Order: sequence, then structure tokens, then C-alpha cells
Amino acid sequence: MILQQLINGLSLGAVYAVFAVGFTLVFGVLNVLNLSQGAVFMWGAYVGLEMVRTLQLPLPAAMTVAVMAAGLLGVVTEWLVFRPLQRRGAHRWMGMVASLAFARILIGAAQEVFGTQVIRYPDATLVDATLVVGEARIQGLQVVALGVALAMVLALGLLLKFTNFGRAIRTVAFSETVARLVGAPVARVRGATFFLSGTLAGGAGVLWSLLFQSVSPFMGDTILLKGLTVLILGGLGNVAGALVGGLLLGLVEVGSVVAVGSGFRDAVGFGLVLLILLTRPTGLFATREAKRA
Amino acid sequence: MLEIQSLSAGYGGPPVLHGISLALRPGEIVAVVGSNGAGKTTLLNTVAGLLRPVSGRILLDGKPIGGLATERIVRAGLSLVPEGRQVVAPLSVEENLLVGAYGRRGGGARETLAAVYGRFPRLKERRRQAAGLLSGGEQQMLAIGRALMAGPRVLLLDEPSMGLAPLIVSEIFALLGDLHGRGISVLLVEQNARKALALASRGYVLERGRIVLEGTSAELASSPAVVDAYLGAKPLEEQAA
Repeated sequence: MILQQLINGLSLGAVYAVFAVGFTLVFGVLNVLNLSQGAVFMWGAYVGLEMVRTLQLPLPAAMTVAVMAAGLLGVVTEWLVFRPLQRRGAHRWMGMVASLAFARILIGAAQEVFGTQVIRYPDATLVDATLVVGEARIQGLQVVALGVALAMVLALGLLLKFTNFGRAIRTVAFSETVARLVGAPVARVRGATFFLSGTLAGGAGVLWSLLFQSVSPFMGDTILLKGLTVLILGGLGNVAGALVGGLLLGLVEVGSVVAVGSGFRDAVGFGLVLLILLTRPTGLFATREAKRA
Repeated sequence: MLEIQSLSAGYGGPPVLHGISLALRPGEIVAVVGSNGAGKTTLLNTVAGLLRPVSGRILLDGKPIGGLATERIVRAGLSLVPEGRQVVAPLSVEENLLVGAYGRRGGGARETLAAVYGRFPRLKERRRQAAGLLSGGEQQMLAIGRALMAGPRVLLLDEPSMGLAPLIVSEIFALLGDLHGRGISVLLVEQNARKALALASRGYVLERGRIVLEGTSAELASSPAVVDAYLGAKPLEEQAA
């Protein structure tokens, strides 16, 4: 029973984490919330689904295409929404509102293209092995989703930590002026950040739609709120925090379903946010730097 | 090497700099002294490409660089050590240095890193520490090291003595003298005129966005106007009144 809930919570939480890491990455670099992230998540899910349904691609290939497409959508978001506003020196609220508007356009477009009914992946595409350990039934899909999610976050972490480009991203996040002074191409770093963030959103979208067997134009709205929750749990702009925060939220949600019933799932999650905001406003894992800033 | 011709610049409103002309010859250390608000930082930020000139020309090795993106200016061989050091606090010391080589063309970054560590052993000792945890003097060394990582031929420094204890300032200035021995030209902007003129071979006095005096360091250091305004106590205009 515990094992069952643990794997349920971790696979759910890993998807939250992938989404939230992309969310927090853009926040770290631009200091602005990109509220179209949920719509990119949804488009990633649809692109993956269409690759499987219409083009009959195997799942790994379909997911790769979906991830890349979502990355490009991220770049388009930066180019259409954030870059013009930045150039005009607009307040960061404008970026938030404009990205929300852009999300609505993306959702509207998805409704036109795919209709509003919930669609599922064809059964044959799924990993349908089930592992029975004692009383727990662990779906192969959950394990795969957890693995893929952790791999995506790990890949991003390695990129940020050990590559030149990753150092440039972290430098831009700290100070655009310093980034320019060391000769980093700030505009390209921003574009790449949106690409990475988009790929994570798209990857999360595919994983989510596989785990929950549903794709709909509105699926991004819920995850956007979860993403905000994780952003606050982990600390704004903190990638490692988003990973731990995502897993934690998944576990807490699943645990609360067991303990107090599914009606309270979101109440417990958001209650946690309130609690964090009241007691540790810089997030659970605030570093000394973050506190000083 | 670096030539600035009738440069005017500012922040979009009325210009802060009015028709500045100055030159930095190969291997030279030149000081620009002036009080707070004279336009020293504006001058360096404009040369480094953080601000666009309103008018006038900036030439590096005879090629115009005025108004180019900072990354292109860095690649052309000019780096700025900004006011207040601005090390990237959450990155480690070594990461700060490595990111300094970002705009560098070709190889040589490893060798420069070794050379920087050779010159600043304390940075090597602390290379895994977050840069934000360094002392002010160490941060200044890191900022200079980071600028050197780009392999510049011209180095601009904005108030390297700011907020540092006199002993540390002497250490940093000794280091700058060392750099110029290696063929790097240095343009040094300082409120600490005494130290700056002691190090530089020539100097300019900047006041309200204009160059009001120039000459060899010895000339400037013995000029009554400079002595009163920057080595003594009173600003020039009060003295004229």
C-alpha cells in the first residue's frame, strides 16, 4: 500500500517537477512568470499524440518530436511576447499578462484543431507491463515516466552546471550587464532558455497524458497552478528546488487523497503553499544568496 | 590602440559626456580622475558598449567600435571590470573565471586560467567557493581575473579601489602595474587620484562630463588645480570663484 502510493506520488511529482523546472528556469533568467507554459505543455501533449495517432510513430520518436515542437513554441513565445515587451522596457506584469493572453490564443487554436473532447493515446502505444510487488501494482508506464522525467531534469542540471552555455544562462540570470561584459550573447541565451523551458513543458505534457490517459485543450490550466505551487515550494528560480518541490507536491497530493479523500487533494497542495509563504517565503531550499537578493 | 574622439553620451536624456577625446597607446596605463558624478562610469560603459554614444567616435586599433554590441567589443579585445566588481555571486570562483572566457575566440582559455591562478593564488585556493562569499578585495581580484579570461588587449577598470582597505588597494594597484608589463593597455578610472596618478603614465581630469585637464601624471600631480581638487580638498569651481 505504501509502496503503491509512493510510486503513484513520485511519478506524478516527477511530471510536476519537469514542468516546474522549465517554469523556474525562465523565471530565473528573465525574472518574469511565463504563464503560457501550461499551453505549451498542452501542445506538447497533442503533438505527441498526433505523431502516434496519425503518423504512427513509435512513442520515443513521437515524444522527441513533441519535445522539440514545444521547445520551438517556447522560442516563439519569447519572440512574440517577451522580446518586444523587454525592448520597450515594459514592467514585468505586462509580460505575465501578455503570456496569459498568448496562452489563451494557443488554447483557442487547440480547440479549433483538435476539438474540445478528451482524447486518449491508442492502447497499443503504451507500456502495459505491470509489476506486482506484494499488494502494490506498479505500472511499467509509471516507472518509465518517472525515469524519463528524472532524466530530463538531470540533463538540464548537467547542462546548467557543466557547460559554457549553462554558465552563460546562470550569468544572465544573475545580471544581464555582467553577461554582456563577459561577451555572452544575451539575446541568444534568452532564446535558448525559452527553448529549454518549452522542451520541459512539452515533455511533461506527453508524460502527463500517458499517465492519466487524457489530452484536452484545457489540461494546461491545472498544471500551471501546480507549477506555481512548486515554484514557491522550491524557491523562485531555483532548479534543484523545483525538482524536490515537484516530487514533494506529488507525494503530498497522493498522500492526502489516501488520508483525507480526493476532494482535498488541491486544498492540501495549496494549503502547503500558504504555509510556505507564511513561514519560509524564499522557499524550502533558499540559499544564502537568494535570501540576500 | 584605443582612441576616443569628441564622444558624447548619456542615458537617453541630456548627455552626461560632452565631446570627450582621449587616447590610450599600446602598453600604456592612463588614469581618468574626477569626482563623483563627473561621468567616469558613463565614459567606460559607453566604450564597453553598455551605452550607445550620442555622437563621436570610438576606435580600437583604428576600427570603429562605438555602438557595437558589448559581446563584439569583448571579442575585438576590450574588456571592462565594472564598478562594484559585480562578480556572479552564486557561481563558484572558477565558474566566474570560466564564464569570463565566454566571448573568447580560439583557444588559450586554459592557459589564461592557469596564469590568473598563478597571479591570484587566493582565487585558486577558493576556486570552489561561491564568489559571493569572497571578501571585497578577493572579489575585485576575481573581477579583474574574469576580465583577463577574455584575453583582452585593452582593459578598462572602473574604481577598483572602491570600498577596499588601503593595503588591499595597494596590492591591486601593484597587480595592474604588472599587467601593463605584459603588454595590456589599461584605462583606469578612479576617485583615488593619488594612487591612480602614481600608477599611470598619463592622466585626464574629468569634470561634469568634460575633460578639463590632461597631461603626464607628474604634471597633473603637481598642478595646483588637481592638488586642490583631488589630492587636497576643494573642487575646482570653488577654487575659481
